[in-house]
Amino acid sequence: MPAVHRVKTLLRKPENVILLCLLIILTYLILLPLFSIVGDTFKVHSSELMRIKGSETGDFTTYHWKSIFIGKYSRNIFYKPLINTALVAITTCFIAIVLGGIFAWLVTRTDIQFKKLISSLFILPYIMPSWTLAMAWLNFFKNTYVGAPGFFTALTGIQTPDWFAYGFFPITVVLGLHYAPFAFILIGGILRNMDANLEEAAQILKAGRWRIIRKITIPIVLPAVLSTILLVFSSAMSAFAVPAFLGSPVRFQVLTTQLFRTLNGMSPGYGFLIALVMIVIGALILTVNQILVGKRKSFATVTGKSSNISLVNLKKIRTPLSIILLVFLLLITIVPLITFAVESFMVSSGSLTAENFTTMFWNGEGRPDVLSGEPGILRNKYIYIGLWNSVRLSVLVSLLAGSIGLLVGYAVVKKRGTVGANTLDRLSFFPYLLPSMAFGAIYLSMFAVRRGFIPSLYGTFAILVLIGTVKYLPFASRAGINAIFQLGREIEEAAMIFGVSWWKRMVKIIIPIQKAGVLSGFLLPFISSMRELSLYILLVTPSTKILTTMLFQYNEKGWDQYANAIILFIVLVVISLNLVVNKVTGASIDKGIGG
Amino acid sequence: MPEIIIKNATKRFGNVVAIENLDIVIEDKGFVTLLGPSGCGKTTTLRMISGLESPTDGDIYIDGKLVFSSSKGIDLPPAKRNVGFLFQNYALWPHMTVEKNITFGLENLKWGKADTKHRVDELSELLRIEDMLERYPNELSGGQQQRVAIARTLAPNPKVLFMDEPLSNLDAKLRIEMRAELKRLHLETNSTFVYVTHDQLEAMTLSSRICLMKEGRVQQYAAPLEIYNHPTNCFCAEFVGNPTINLIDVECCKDDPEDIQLVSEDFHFYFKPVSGLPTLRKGAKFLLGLRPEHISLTENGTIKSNVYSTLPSGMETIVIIRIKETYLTSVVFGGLDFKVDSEIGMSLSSDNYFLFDKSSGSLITAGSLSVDQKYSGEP
Repeated sequence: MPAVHRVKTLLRKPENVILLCLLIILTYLILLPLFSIVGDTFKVHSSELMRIKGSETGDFTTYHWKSIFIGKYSRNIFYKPLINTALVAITTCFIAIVLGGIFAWLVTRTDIQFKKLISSLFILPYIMPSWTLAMAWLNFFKNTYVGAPGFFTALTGIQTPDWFAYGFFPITVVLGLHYAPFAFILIGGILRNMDANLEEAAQILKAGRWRIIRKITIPIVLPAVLSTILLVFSSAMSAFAVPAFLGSPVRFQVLTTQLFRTLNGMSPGYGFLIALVMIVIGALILTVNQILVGKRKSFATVTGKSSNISLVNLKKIRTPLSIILLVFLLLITIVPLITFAVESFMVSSGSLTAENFTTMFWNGEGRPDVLSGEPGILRNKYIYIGLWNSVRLSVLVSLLAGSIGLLVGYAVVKKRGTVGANTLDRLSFFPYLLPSMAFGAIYLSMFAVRRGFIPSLYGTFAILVLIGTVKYLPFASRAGINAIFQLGREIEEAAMIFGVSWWKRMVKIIIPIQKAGVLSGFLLPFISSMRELSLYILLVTPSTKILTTMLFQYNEKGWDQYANAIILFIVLVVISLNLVVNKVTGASIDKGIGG
Repeated sequence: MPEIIIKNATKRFGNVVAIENLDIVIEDKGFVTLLGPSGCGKTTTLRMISGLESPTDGDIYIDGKLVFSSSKGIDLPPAKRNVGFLFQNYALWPHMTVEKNITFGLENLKWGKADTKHRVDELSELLRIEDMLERYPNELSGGQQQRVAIARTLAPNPKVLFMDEPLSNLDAKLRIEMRAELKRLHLETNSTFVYVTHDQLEAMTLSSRICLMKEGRVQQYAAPLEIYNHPTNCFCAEFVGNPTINLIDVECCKDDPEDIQLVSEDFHFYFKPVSGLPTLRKGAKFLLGLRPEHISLTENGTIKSNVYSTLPSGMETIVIIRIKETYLTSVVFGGLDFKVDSEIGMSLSSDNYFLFDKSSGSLITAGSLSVDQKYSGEP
């Protein structure tokens, strides 16, 4: 029985067992739900019985497909949000790449001042939840269209026009600022690692400064820029909170907000179909990215020693430019935080008089005449429940995703080049491309009912942990793959020769040596989960509320003070945690891939 | 005449002095090698001459033209210095085909189509890369990339060519092949080559002159064999030559210029200078340098020694012998081998053994040696 022996030998190696288990689990958690959601688009849901005459719940129907793509209202339900989404995503890409690219070039290639400060400030909008800037924008520029005016109107008396305060313009600006750091990190990384000799060789051959940038620098950075564009595009496409905050006052709908409306409303079938469309677009982007990266003149080896790169002398504009950049960065990072603090102390926003300030939203017992008698944040038990849920969720997600990511890294690196390893590599990265809200919709569809031995999970805390773990697995598995890959196989093999067990090799050798890399695999999911809204929003129920979904509800109710206080709180937690971990281990969220 | 003159060049990076008071003249059509251990400032020197780096102080002339002067505030960019530069990692542009890589420099000079085509043909034939013009650099092997890089550098016919360890990324066999190619190229292109390496053998075999550097200072600037046979100090003697020169700690026990006697832990030497009569102080400490080929091993050698280890390579055999507690390396030519631990006679018959000052390392004189029987013998 040689076959049996072969299987036995294979299974004696831990990496094979891990690979097999992970492939099965991830197929179940990532691929299977995709089929489930396709099924849901052809199904009659209970809330749709009224409209689909003579049908029963669970019947097969093409109603959703017809009305979304060719129906009377398809323009409003689907095509308009689709076009809006495309426009927002494209404009966001443009802003993010130009801004991030210029900053990256200035920091790596010129003698601009405050480089360290500029770099760390520039990363902040990315570490903060994306809706931070959206809230700040509202605090500043909201007009009387939806109630009390913002700071700008209060201070200047000028009424901001609707197009400026809400809708397309602020959405793209805010998303652009949020994803610019992403471009900054990627392009800056390439510029920093790019072999300076490539540019020097052109210099020796008498090419001018501009010709070098055009003919050498840009073409070499281009693949990275293209990848960045695609990733920013897919992230912007799946952004929910920003368009929800800034778009809803003027009914500016994008796919995600439409998805939320339909799934929470009367037509989940539409929602599942919209989710499916988003997933298809996401998968297309992945494919395009793969093709671009795998092209013939790929740039595997652009790194080299670049220690003595000659910096562009900015001469006269050096100091003014440095100061302008710094002020700009302070405006988009520190100032928003200040507005949150200030707003949370104001009875009604838009009035900067002394009697308008109060601490009741922090420690008040709640007055029946103000905001339905909700007690102040520090005395509000719901806030504490939400906080506890958020922390508990993020810790669990981080532990699970981080550990699985490490195992993925181990299996992928050890089995490098095999079909299994490649499949696992791609599979573990796939959730990254699923728009968060669509992913939430998938799990809603998949786990609303009992599946085999898994009971219905809807409404449980477990489903939040499950989806968070899967969604952030890409961060963790990238970190895991990098950590194990850098280590090289000899280190582990040296221990194997002595007969050290697998468990001991991991705990005593691999993890301690690569602790910074391993830790970032845990840190990234934690911080991402802490600030996540759109992934969880479809799945939370009153008993499993988390801080971000409470924030969203407060904002919808117009209780800005609470919303502001919570956002300030989340931002401070995320930033200080990042700072602490960065100081202790050198790991940092800004070293990971985007999200 | 593209002669290069460097006067009093100093380069500091912050507080670290990379080059100190460098003063060399690189003659027209020479093949000059900057040689030294890593961190000795040789690459920095090359980058300063080419204009990729600016010295902190000093003057540099290329072809009679002042290209850098700290006092006059002159600092011509590399493009204005009419030089070629071959990088250690080739620095081929990954997004351009081989042909594009070669023609890029010519485009910058606004060469016509026909001339460019002609030049590409000429170079690709010279460097045997005709079949690769349409390929991208990452589709070429290391040796091919190297040749493309050379073609790109040569294309605009630079009169001065700088090379920064161009062979260090190649495997051993290819390196020897390319060495011969480079030497031919030097003759065919009729230009001045300045070459950086840390490989003493490469420097010995290629150059017309070697500039041997250490910690930012020139140790000796001379023809390869001159450095080998007449090193100015202990560092030069040790850096050049493979296997490495034997150095023995000695103390002067008789300072009569006519009859110099030196003692080491295991030997008592009589030293006879080839020329001049140096004055040595009794009790002063020295290093005695013996090139391996100047230690002969014969059956009837006067000094008895033991074979400690042998490394036969066919053409020659490196033998490490032991005499009491002293280990010496010797080279025997021809396909001989010796039995380990067997006894063998040794003799010192050359007249080019070096005497270095122990503390400064500088050469005192060279001369012949004989060994007192009483102190040697019984290993």
